[in-house]
Amino acid sequence: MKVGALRPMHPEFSIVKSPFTLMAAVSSNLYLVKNLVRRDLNHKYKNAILGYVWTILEPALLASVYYVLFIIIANHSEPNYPMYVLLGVIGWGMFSRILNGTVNSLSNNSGMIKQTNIPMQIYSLSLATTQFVITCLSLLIVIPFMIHLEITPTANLWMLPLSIFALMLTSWGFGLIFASANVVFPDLAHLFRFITKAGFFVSPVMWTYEMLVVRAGDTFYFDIAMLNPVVIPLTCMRYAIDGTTPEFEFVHVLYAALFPVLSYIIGSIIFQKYSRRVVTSL
Amino acid sequence: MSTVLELDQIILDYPKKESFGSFLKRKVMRFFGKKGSAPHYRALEDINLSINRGEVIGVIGRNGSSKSTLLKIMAGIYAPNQGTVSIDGDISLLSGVGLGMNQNLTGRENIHLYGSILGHSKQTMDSLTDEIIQFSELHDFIDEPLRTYSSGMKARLGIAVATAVKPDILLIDEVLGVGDPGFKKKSQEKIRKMMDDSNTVVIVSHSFGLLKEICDRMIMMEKGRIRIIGSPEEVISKYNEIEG
Repeated sequence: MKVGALRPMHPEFSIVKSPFTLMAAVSSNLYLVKNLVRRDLNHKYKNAILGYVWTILEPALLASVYYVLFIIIANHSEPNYPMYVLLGVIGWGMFSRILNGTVNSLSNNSGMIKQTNIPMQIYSLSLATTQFVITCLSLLIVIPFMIHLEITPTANLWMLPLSIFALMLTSWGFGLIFASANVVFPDLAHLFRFITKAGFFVSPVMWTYEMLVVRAGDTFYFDIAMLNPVVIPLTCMRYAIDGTTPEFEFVHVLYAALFPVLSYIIGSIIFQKYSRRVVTSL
Repeated sequence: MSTVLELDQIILDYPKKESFGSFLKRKVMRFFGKKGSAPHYRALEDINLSINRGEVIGVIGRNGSSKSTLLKIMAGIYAPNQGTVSIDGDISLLSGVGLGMNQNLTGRENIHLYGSILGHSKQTMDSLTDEIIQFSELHDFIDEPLRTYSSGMKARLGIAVATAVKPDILLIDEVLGVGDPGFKKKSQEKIRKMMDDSNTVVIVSHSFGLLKEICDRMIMMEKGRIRIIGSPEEVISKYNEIEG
């Protein structure tokens, strides 16, 4: 038995320490995160006859729809376009599910939160990790596309994990900013559902960065569009696969690199400050 | 004897539902310097308590007297609006047995899942798995999905995992009545063993006989306040007097 001095159950809040405290709690609960991820994956796939095959089958079916729509019906000149859309759908799908799930993470786990003192960021982190695993499995569908389009993997492939990580950190951090407020104002969950639905169209899912440059490259709207933090990560996912060398403006790259980090820092500070206070409202 | 858990001037409020208009009005008033608090009811008021290492404390009171809320404040689940909770050692709350277990996972997988939810490491759970299976008497079903279990079997698995722990401070919230009579007796014996191992225990129960037998001190809660602290005989007799 440990013998020592009494320590406060709820240490004083510190802005500087918050991002580190959040990570320390995560690293000391990795076994729990692993078990929660396994539980969530089981819940999603184990009852289905095809099980985990659905993680690949779902994007494969989507891909066939895009192929018929864009290549056969619309006769799109860019042969890689269905693959671009597919990558956009996979990347955006992960981003929106993590964002909505994190915003709802306290409300959706109220039963467990009121019975255990697990660090509360674990719920959203396990959800984000589950989505990360699903995304990685879904990306396997790109391999048949690469073979069909005769695309050889290049050194640019390093951008794929980095882009996925940037999307994950941005959505998790941004969700953490609003998770506590959503307990008191559940309208936020509805607002975020709308934002992610609208975001599908204002993010490069159905369109590409090149299309944006051609249509609005010299205008004020280009800079407005580039404020969307997912433009560069989603585009880099495509470049990682087709080997294109990125030619972004430095300021846009800097913005895309800082946004996930700042989202996480601000999210961890706000979450640390307010999450325990709202437990009585759950 | 050293103090392992201390509650100092604790106040806890539960917020009441507030309309958006009233929320906005309150915020505007605050902006202009007028003080106004959000609508709430007081769940705990003026709680001062020191628990020493090795003590077994029983908590009684009518339904709604905030007994469970007191345990949740001690466990760190609720943060008090005022006052401080200080602790020395690990603390574990036994409440809602089987929390977070999944129907599609096997009994064995659920042992690890529930164990990790209770805050235990992989090493701890690996070393306790055989003991848990033996205690739950589910050897033949342990690799079957939980959805194939009866509610009694699920309860047995849950309590077997929950009682495999040896925290420094153990908080028990009326979980002694789970399972069939035979298993209930076995669980009670196990919890008594846990109490011996944990040294410091706070238990909420309506079983006055059990409390009288095991507790060093007892607390009677009334409307969110500690009404009496004293010896089990004294507190139970006062409770019976008040309740008629």
